[in-house]
Amino acid sequence: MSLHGLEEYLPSLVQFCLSVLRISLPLSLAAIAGFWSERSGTPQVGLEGFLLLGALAGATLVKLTDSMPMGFALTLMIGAAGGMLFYWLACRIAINAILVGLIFNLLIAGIAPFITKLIFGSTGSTPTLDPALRWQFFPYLWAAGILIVSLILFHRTGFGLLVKFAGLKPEVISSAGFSLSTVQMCSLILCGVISTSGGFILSTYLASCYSPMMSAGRGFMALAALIFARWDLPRTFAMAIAFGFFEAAQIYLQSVNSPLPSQFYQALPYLMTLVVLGLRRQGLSEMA
Amino acid sequence: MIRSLSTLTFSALIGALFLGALCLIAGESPVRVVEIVIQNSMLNQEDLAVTLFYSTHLMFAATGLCLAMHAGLFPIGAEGQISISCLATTVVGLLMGPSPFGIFLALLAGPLTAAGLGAVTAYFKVKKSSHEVIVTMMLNFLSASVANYLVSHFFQSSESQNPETGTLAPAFKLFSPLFSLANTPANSSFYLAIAVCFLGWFVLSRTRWGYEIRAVGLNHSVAAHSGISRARVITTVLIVSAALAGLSSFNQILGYNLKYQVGFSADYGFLAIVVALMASRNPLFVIPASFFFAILMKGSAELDIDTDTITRDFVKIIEGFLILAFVLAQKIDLKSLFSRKRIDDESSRA
Repeated sequence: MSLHGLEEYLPSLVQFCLSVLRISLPLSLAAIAGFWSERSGTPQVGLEGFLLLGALAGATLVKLTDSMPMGFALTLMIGAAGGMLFYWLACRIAINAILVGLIFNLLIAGIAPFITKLIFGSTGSTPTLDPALRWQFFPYLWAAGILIVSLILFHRTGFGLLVKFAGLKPEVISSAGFSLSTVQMCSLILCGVISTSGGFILSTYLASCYSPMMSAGRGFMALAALIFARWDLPRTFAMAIAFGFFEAAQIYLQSVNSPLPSQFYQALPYLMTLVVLGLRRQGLSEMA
Repeated sequence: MIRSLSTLTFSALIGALFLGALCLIAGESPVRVVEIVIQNSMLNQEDLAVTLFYSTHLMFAATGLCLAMHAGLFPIGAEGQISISCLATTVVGLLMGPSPFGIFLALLAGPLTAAGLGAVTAYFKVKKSSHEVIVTMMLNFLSASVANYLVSHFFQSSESQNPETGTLAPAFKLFSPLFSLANTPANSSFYLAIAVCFLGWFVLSRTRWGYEIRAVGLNHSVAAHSGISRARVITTVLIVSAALAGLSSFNQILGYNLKYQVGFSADYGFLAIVVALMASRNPLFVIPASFFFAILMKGSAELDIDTDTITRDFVKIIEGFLILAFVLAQKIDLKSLFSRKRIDDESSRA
């Protein structure tokens, strides 16, 4: 390809890369959230519910308070409360965490239309937000910040070490004089905060209102990314970006006439996860 | 039995209290909500037919889930198995035509393809020690994509704007309608579903295989010591439970619609999990539990129209709260709530 041709393609290429990053924001945040939960020994299938919770709370609170930072802060607090609730049910009362996750997804999907109807009188969606409120680049900073903080927290601090042990050998923690409950609680609160922030970005940055089921399986895709990357944070993040790439490619290719059907790109994350599960040797990890 | 009935009553009470409070918050009278639900699900033949049709789907899938849950498994793949089996039945029917052999193959196609999905789950569970929830979840998404792809690229009906296949010949209608009214979905596979529930109970409590299933679920190392192969039990139970979910194709395709419509399933497969849990894994209790949830499904569809603030998604809240209340009632004893000691999860009983 000549340089001239490249110049012609460059703007659309940059645009495409930006849209990949944009689309993968909620997904990668959900994946990091899932990372904290699963590494601390709590299987997390409730990411979809957390994303929806963040999306709903975000769109509603920003609309009500008319301020982005205010809505964001409140959403994060709701996320922390959600994480606490998850901890209480899954670790304290010891209900099977997978069941708790499924209940979470079900309840939030059911309560969302109820809340929009109560507050805004509409079934399903919230009213559109003022475009002037929309953030320009903060979501990218937030995601990058969360990634870096998570990396440092997990690999360089005592807390990270405790989380590692909570997932691999929980009995070590109490022998060393620490509280397993506290470690699990902190990880699940982190999980709740990070995943709801992903939902917030979904409804206020990728869209401008909450619409029913807008997370569209991203929570499960995040889980797939996590399993595919074998619970390693940088790889998980890379996988989330890759899934975002496929999503963006799917939207782009629909306009071009692609040789592969759009369903292929939709199924790809799940297919890849199954392939990875199929490739590994027996008993590598009991996490998934 | 007595214990499970009392937790059931207790949790139903907690759930009802929660939901009543929620109705009051929304400014609706709980009594009126119940009235609407019952009025629109049972009081005339047309509504009752839809309710029975839903409960047939739920009974097939939930009985299979009861078996799997007794083996300590928690597969959530019924949703994908239902849609793939219905698609397979339709496709085989369309390709083979209404010859006796074609009809026979179409009859087998549903349960067999679903069993295939169950076998895939079993492979991952036994050979790769993957968690069955993750595998079945991925299979659900895959099945949906594959079904969408096959319908939109190969079998799309030319007469319809909706994503659906062409209609099978009338000879494929093997299960006759229960009611004489035209176009009511309930059909004689309802009786088959009830028979399956009884059979499931019989197998679980009166046969050798059922004993092996329960032994593996209760304590698989003891089961191994008495010569029961965990791998074999898990494989067979996953395949059989999937095949049972696949029987839904009788109800949906061969008894009612004669065509596959993309997205026809109203989350039957997921609701079946709730049903099996509420029935405390007893296939006999699945019959009333299915009927109860079918009433909720059918009745709540009218809530949009008949109330100001309560929508049809209310049924999801009801389901969520009921499972939560049920699991809580099983787990909580008040002392442990206030002590600092962690309760050990009783393996995967929940």
